[in-house]
Formats: sequence, structure tokens, C-alpha cells
Amino acid sequence: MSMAESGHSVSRHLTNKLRVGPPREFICLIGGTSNAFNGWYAWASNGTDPAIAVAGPEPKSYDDIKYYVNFRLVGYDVDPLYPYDMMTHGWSTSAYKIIKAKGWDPVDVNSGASSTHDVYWANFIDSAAHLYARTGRVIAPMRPVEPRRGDIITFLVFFPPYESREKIDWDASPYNVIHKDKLEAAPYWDPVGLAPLPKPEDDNTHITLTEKNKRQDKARKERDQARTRDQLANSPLTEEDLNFYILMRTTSENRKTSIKRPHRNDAYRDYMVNKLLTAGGKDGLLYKTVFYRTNEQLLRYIKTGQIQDSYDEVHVQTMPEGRPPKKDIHGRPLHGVPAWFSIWDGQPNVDRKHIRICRFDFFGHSGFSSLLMDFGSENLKGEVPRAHLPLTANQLIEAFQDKVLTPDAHACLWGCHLGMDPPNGESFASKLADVFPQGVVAADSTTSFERIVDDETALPIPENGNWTYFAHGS
Amino acid sequence: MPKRYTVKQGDCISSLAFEWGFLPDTVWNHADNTELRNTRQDFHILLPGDEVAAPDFELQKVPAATDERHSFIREKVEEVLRVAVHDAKDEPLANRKYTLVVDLVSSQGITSPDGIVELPIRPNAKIGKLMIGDPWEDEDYYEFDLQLGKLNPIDDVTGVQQRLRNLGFDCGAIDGIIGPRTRAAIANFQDYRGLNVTGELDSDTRAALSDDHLC
Repeated sequence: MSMAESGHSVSRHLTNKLRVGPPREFICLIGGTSNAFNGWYAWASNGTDPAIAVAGPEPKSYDDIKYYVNFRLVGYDVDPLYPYDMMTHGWSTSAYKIIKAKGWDPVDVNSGASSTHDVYWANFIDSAAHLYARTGRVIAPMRPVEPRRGDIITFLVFFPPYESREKIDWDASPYNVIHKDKLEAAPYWDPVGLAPLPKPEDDNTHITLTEKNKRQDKARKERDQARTRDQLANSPLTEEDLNFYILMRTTSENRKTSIKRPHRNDAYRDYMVNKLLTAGGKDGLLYKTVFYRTNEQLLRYIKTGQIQDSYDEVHVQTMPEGRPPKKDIHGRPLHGVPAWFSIWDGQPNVDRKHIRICRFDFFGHSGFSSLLMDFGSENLKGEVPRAHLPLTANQLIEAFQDKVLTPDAHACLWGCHLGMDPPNGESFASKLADVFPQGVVAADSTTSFERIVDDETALPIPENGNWTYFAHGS
Repeated sequence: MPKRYTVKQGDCISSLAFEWGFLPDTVWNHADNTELRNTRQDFHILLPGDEVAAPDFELQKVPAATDERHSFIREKVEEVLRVAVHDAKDEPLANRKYTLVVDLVSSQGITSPDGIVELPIRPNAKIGKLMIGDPWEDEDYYEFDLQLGKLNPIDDVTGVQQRLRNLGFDCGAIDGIIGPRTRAAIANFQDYRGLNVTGELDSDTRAALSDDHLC
């Protein structure tokens, strides 16, 4: 029998009970982005031992940058005793030390091209928004998000890396006035043709228009070259300058969906709030975006529903049918069809006794045994990116105890490696499946976020193409 | 010879009797409906596919003088809608303003201390909308779309799904299939009521569901 009816079926005459809720909470945890300027590295191998990551050569000048972002370790015929000689061929000092420590012969070392993490700073943010907007195609056994009226969707964003990245990117942005005089920033500040050009010579009154244009182009080129020469010759490259040239070399504004070169110093913060709060837009839901700073805050919120101490910002939005503003700006009642529950005891906290978590998503960097809330945000140039703030499965398991989860709760982990067994134990996902009644889905490979940059619907995918399901208690 | 009628979604004895021109008891107690009475405990809850015998009309002869005015009174048949409304903590929404719209007729009132809304309706009324509170003033405003007479018996899976939905445990489409969402809703209900959480529809769960739903 098929009766795909909506609404509540009630009998006539008899007493029918209708109850609201209980509401459920969807928690989407978003890890920090890395410092893309400082994280350039490549995988090196001597063909027999496991590959190792070596950092790019730390740039000091304008010319160094092209090696820094596009270096390749290959077997040059150089004297290994002279690292500087190697650096001219794209080796970093740290790479030299690593290779020597491994006992490898630099001449035999080979590697892929260099790369960095998170060139697009918001790849995790966008992924979460795509999932909760249900625009991205979810590959089974990953599950789509299906909230119902009255449910709460909470995005918990580990904020410090985004705060630091916002500042670093703004300091490197061509829209920032500190780069106004650089040639690459000219299109942003000095559109071609508007700046005064050298006056034509007296005898050019009879030249053709084409000839005139050629002369103007030549003059413009000479002017720009002179500016570049002067600028690079006369002023030492600061960190902001280096980052500016890296940014201009590695990003493009022709890719429509990405904010690669921020227009304002607070552009990222606004972007995150708007992107996440408007994800989905389903009626009758409460959306919360919380920027938090410590693992303790996160774990406490999972456990108790209470955000205490100092959290940075909490943004709350209900969709039109949720809890609309009561009056418009003229004091007239607003039309709407709200349905909400009295159990929600204020912003941003919830009563965990009544509002349990039914789904947990994670987007961010991760390793075999932990979520890396901060990965590479504090690196220096010439260092291989590394994690600063891991969050282990045991910490999460402890927080998810004591009836925090609904009986049908499940977790979807979208980060790298979380479904892979480390050499000395079980995988992160396998451990977490002990507390999630409906299991955990994770990747047993690295996860690619590349597609997020240009596709407004994309979700990350495992590089081996498969998500793995870990059943409860498996 | 009574006609046999196959019950459709939304039918009950009182709605059928109203449309056929009988009193509900006349239809329910008809000899040909004995099997139905044995199967269904209450004539307000039938399952689509049930067979109901429609009695034949009996022509009543009444002596009446010519050139005089005669009045005949037809017994009024009225049904009632009774709904107990609770919040997520299972507290009754007591003494709250409500608006009930049934078949485009709107009524206002105050819920009882038990959170009950009770209003007379036409026996064949099909749809309704119940709104508790003021959408412009109250932060906890609720509304429910009602499908009148469509509640199926608890011993059918659709009846279980309907009750779960009414009690706030979403199980997706009311399709009579115990799929993953229905199983999850059952598990949530079992957890809510302190039963053994299995996700399976056992007799204890069915009884608790019927008890919680009040019918």
C-alpha cells in the first residue's frame, strides 16, 4: 500500500496525541585551513625507500619565488657538499638535510612537482555548505543530510586558522593598498590607459593611428619595466611582498566560484557566515555557525550543548518558517508560518538532555589517527606543513557518551585517511563507530577537495573512489 | 441485499454512514458486518481494503392526513475531533489560543488544561489545520496539518508509522514498509520511552505506541 501523504493522520472521535519534536541536532565540524603561502613541498623518493616530504626552497627574492612554487627535486649533477649550489636548482636547505639524513644520494632523488595545501582557503567551508544545501551528489555509503522541521544545524568552525589566513591573504592581496605600486597590482589600481603616458614627440602629428598605438604600448611597457626594476631592486621583499607574488602566481580571478584575492580585510569572515547560514534554506530549521578556539570548547558543546567561556562569534539564523522576526521595520506583523519549539533555551546553547545529536560531519585536514584542527597555519616558509592541534578519536568518544547521540546517529568523515588502519592500531573511523549506533563512513585514502574550487555543487571525493562504511561495534 | 463497500483511506463507519444516510450504529451493528466488528475494535479506525456492508434502505410508511402540514425530524449526526497537543518535553500545551480550520470552516478557542482541543465536525470532514498560539506574537507557535479519519489500526505498519509521525518521530513516507527510516524512528521512540532499543517493531513497542498516542 502506498500512501505518501503529508501531515498528521488522526481518527475522528477518539483522542489523538500530537507531539512536537523532539528536535535533533546536526553537527558539522570544520577544521582549519592551512597557510598556503608557507606550505610548498614535494614528495621525494630514491625509488626504494618510502617517499618523504621535503619543503620548497625558502624564497628571499622575487626570482626565488618561481622555484619556491614550482620546484622539482631531480638528480642534478651537483656537489652535495654545497647546498647553496643545490638551491639554485630548486632544492631547499631543509630538503638537503633530509636527503642527507636519509642516506640518499641527492643525484638519485626524484620527486613530483611541488604543491601546497588549501590554495583555495574555503574548501572545507564550501564543502560543508554544499552538503547541507544538498546540491552535491552524495556517493553511498555517504548519506545525504535530511533534517526535518524544528531540527538544529550547527556548524562548528575552528576559527584561529581562518582568522590568521584572512589576515595573511589580505596582506598579500592586490586589492590591499600596500601593493598599489606593484606592476602585478596595476590592473587593480591603475587601469591601462588611464595613467599619464610620456608625451608624443613633436613630429608625430602625421603618424597613423596604428603607429601611435604602437608607440604608446612601447612607452607603457618601458614605464612598467622601469617601475618593476626599481621596485625589486630598491626595496627588500617583506613577507607581505613574497606572499603577494606567490598569490599572483598561483591564483586566478577567472575561476568564478572562488574568492582567491580578498577584496576586504574581513571578506573571509563574512563569506563563512553567509555561506554556512544560508546552506540549505529549508523551512523550519535553526542554523548556527559558531567560531570556537579550543578543543575544550568543542568537546564541551558536544557533551552539554553549552558554549561557555569566550567564543568568538555565534551567528544564528532560522529559515522563514522557523522563528521569523515578529514585526517588520514599520511595526507591522510579518506574515509567516512559523513552527518552533519551546525547548530551545536561547542562543547559542541547547539543552543536551532534550536535544541530541543525530549526525556528525567532519571537513578538514586529518591523519590516520586524529582530526587535525590546525594543520600548517603556523608553518614558516621552507618547512613541511605539520599539524598543530590534533583531536583524537578517544577525545570525541568521551564527549559522545552519556546519551548525547540519538539511537539512529551516524557520522560522515570527509577528511583524508580516517578510514585507514594505521600500522599500530585500528582506524579513527573504526574507533568512532563504537559510539555511533548507525556507524561511520570515511575514506580509506586521501580525499580530494580540488573540485570544490570551480563547482558550486561539488563534494570532496576519496582519491580511490570509494567511501568505506564502518558498522557500529565493528 | 446489502451492498459491499471497500474502505478507502479516510473512511470510517461514521463518515460512511453519514454519506449513506444512516446512523453509524445502524451500519456498524448490521449483521453482515459481524466479521468487521470482530476485526476492528473501534469503528472510527478502519483499514483501507476492509469490507463494509451498506444496509438496504427500508421504506417507512407514515400515515398523514391531506391538507395538513407535517414535520419530520431527522436525527442530527455529528462527529467530534479530539486532539491532545504536547510540546517536545511531552508537556501539554495547556490554556493556549488555538485556531482549527476544518474543511474551510475556522474555529477559535482555548486548549484545555490537558492540552486538548475538542470540536464538533461533520462526520465526512477530510482535512484540517490546527494552529496553537499566535504566529506573530508567540515564540512557540505550532501548526499541524490534519488528515481526518486517516489513522489506520495499530496492528498495521502504516498505523505504526502514522502514530510515530504524530508523536514527533519522523519515519519518512507512510508506505507500510519497515525501512531504515522507520526502523530509526522506532529506535528513537523506544529510547524515548525507556524501552529496549532494538529498532524492531515488537509487541511492547506497539503497546507503548498505542498508549502514548492515546488511541
